[in-house]
Amino acid sequence: MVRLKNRYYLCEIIPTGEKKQGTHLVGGFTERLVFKAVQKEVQDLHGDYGQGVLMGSFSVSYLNPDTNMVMIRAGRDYHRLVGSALPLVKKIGHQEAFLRTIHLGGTIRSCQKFLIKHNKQFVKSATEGVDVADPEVKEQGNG
Amino acid sequence: MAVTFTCPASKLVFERSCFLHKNSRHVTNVLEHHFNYGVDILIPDCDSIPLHLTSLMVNSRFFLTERLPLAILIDKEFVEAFVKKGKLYMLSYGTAIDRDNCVAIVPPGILILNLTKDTYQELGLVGKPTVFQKKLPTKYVVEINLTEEYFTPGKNYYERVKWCLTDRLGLVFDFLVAWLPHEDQISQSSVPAYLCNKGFRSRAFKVSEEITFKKDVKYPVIDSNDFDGHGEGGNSDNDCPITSSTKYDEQKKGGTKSDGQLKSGDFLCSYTEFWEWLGAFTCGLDCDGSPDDFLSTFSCPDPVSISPSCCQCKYRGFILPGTINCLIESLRDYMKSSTSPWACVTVHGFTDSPVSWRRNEHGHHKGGENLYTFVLFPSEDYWLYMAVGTHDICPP
Amino acid sequence: MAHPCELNILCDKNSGNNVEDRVKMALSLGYEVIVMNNFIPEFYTKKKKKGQEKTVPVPEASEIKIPEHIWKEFKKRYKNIQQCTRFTTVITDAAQMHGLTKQKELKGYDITAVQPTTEKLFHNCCTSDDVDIITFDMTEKIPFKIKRPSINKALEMGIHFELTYSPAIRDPTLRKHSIRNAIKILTVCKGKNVVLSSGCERAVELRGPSDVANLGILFGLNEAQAKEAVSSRCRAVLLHAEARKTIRGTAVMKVTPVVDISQKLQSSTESQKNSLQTTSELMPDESDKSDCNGLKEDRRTGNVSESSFRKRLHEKDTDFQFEDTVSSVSKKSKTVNVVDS
Repeated sequence: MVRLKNRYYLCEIIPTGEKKQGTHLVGGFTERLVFKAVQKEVQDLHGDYGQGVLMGSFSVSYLNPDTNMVMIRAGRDYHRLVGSALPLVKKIGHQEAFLRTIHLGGTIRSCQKFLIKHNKQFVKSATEGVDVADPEVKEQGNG
Repeated sequence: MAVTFTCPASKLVFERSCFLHKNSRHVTNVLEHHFNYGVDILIPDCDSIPLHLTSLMVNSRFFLTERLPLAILIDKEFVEAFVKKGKLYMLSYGTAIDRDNCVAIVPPGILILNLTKDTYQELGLVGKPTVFQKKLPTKYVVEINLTEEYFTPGKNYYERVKWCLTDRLGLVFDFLVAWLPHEDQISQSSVPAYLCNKGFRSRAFKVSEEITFKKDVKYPVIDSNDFDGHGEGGNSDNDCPITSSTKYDEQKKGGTKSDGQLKSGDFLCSYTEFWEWLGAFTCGLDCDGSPDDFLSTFSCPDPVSISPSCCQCKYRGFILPGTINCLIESLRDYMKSSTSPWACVTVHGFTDSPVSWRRNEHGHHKGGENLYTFVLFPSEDYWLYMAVGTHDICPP
Repeated sequence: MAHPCELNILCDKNSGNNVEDRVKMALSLGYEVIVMNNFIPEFYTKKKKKGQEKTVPVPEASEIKIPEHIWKEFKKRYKNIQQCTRFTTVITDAAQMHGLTKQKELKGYDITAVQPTTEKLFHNCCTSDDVDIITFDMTEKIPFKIKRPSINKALEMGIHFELTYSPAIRDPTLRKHSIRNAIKILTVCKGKNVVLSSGCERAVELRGPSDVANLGILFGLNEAQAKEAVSSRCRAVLLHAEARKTIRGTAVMKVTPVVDISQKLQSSTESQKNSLQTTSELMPDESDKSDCNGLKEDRRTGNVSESSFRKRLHEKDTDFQFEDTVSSVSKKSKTVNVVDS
């Protein structure tokens, strides 16, 4: 039985434009925009061959507009074509942004596990030396 | 299923030795490579090439016999006169090794039939499938030893072979023929004369010669003892031992060219860089590429020396291994008295021959190259490169 | 490797009058077998309203072949060339498969190729006796899923899958579609029984056999498969077509040595099972195989093995019973055992 195997790239979108509020952009990115941006990059880099090869199982599986995490799926045999184009993405939609690849997994589940671990570490490092019970911190959080 | 754009695999064997060494195999290596179509000689710092070097090439002759049936080749008269005495080399002409049936006769009298599946099944002789296609072979190799005692008329095996080649499937080919007689008085053209009597037309050909002298040629400086180019002090002893053959798969090595050129601590040119430069030069390529050149950055490997006059000779024809051995001996004599730092002899084997060295099967995948190069030094040392393509067995 | 073949030179009404130019180009590039393809999308329709079958007139095979006097000129220049004819049609309903066997003119064509449009029809084509090549429209996305069991059936029947490369040369968008379709097909069939051909409309879209093999690598075949796709596989298609036209079934014959009458009488009095056993014992032993060297073939890959033949003799309900081996095989087994290389 032929089993179609995929690879999932877990990336973080890092906007570099002028408009910024907090740590992420308001009116953020959509799956479609990310898809278009990566597809265009593959076309520029690998040409018609790259496009033809990708048409099979290339898609954006998951996008979290709050954390700017995106999961891009590509078939296992040709995932390197996608992987080679990801660092070259400069613009997503109208916003200048680039992709930082964090993890390459075989299934969505493995990427999810990694993401949870990654987020936990991030929260831990962000809250180091900060006493959550401190009333001042609480005020800041509420405000 | 992923596409990897790799180069077709090829094999290169490199040997460094001395002509005077008792275990040197330079004679056997040449004699075992049966079918050669071209010899290229390159000598830097050479104004004029001595006549005795070129005369033996120009004097050699070969013949093309048209529409010769295979049955004639097993004829007792033919075998007694030409196969058992002297050295007979025959190769089918105009047949592609990967598509058609190919036939060859090599000394000491082996008839090799490299047949397509259809022909093999129709012919009825016992053979082995090709070593290059394990699962579904499309070619089969039949070897018949014409000099065996039991291969005489009247015996079962002979009668069967004769029946297969005449009644069952009458195979007819054009053959390139060259015969080295066992005695000097006998002429080389005895074979076509015999075939002419039987009613088969032959045409005689000479080996073609092309000599050019090039001026102000850049060539790499090499040392016979230092083939890695690391600048280590070499063994200047004449009776140097043979180093172990460096067999490496071109595919695994990959990126040799750039690696060689980027090395900055090298004193001399390494054997791999020299081999590439030699190929580029023989093809007439301009080896003056600068690092910022868009088309080609290939340049002559360092250190470079300039020769005021470089001699290049090209010979094309059905050339016998014995002739090549004599040529190498003449070149050795020449090197003793000349000022040239080295001399190169490259011998190209037929792309469509069924064998490369000895009776190793030869095939054509993307390319059917099988060639060897001798680099001769004045100190009687030599470098030997033997290269084959994808569908080939590693040379001995 | 066999001689390179060009299996698809379009000769229908829409492809224009430059057939000779294209054939000339193909021959000069090194192809030794040229197949003229008559592509008729809908040749057989059943109009349910009127309840009558309607067929589009199919030209005779000889009409699309290159005329004799021109072919003779070609033969003088290029030796060992031959031309064949092929009929291709698009299958949109099951009735059309039936139509393939009905029409007289189709029997004049050497090769039959079909282009299915749904998964069920694809499966029908893969299990059909009357089909040599299954082709796909490389200019559009294949509308159905290609499944492994159908492919396996096709491999057993000796049917080949065709990939055309001319669309990839013509236009960048078509190139993407071609690559995508090719990868889709090759992922499932793993490069087996794949044939590469041009499907060209103009001479400039033709490429030499080695170049086509390189294009095949781009599509996803490996080197050896790509080389085969232009030569050996094409030859297998031609043999399959020939076998399909000439025979309905096969009988594998084996010469047995002369048997003592007394032994035979003894065996015939015993049960049928025993008689089958003794006939197998009477079969020539291993040492007599010298006449049949090279004839070992296995059904799955298009070959038949001697050991499998012997096994069949042992089976009770085999079609290859001793009495039946001389006459043609029963209607049940329609497998075509072809000498396939």
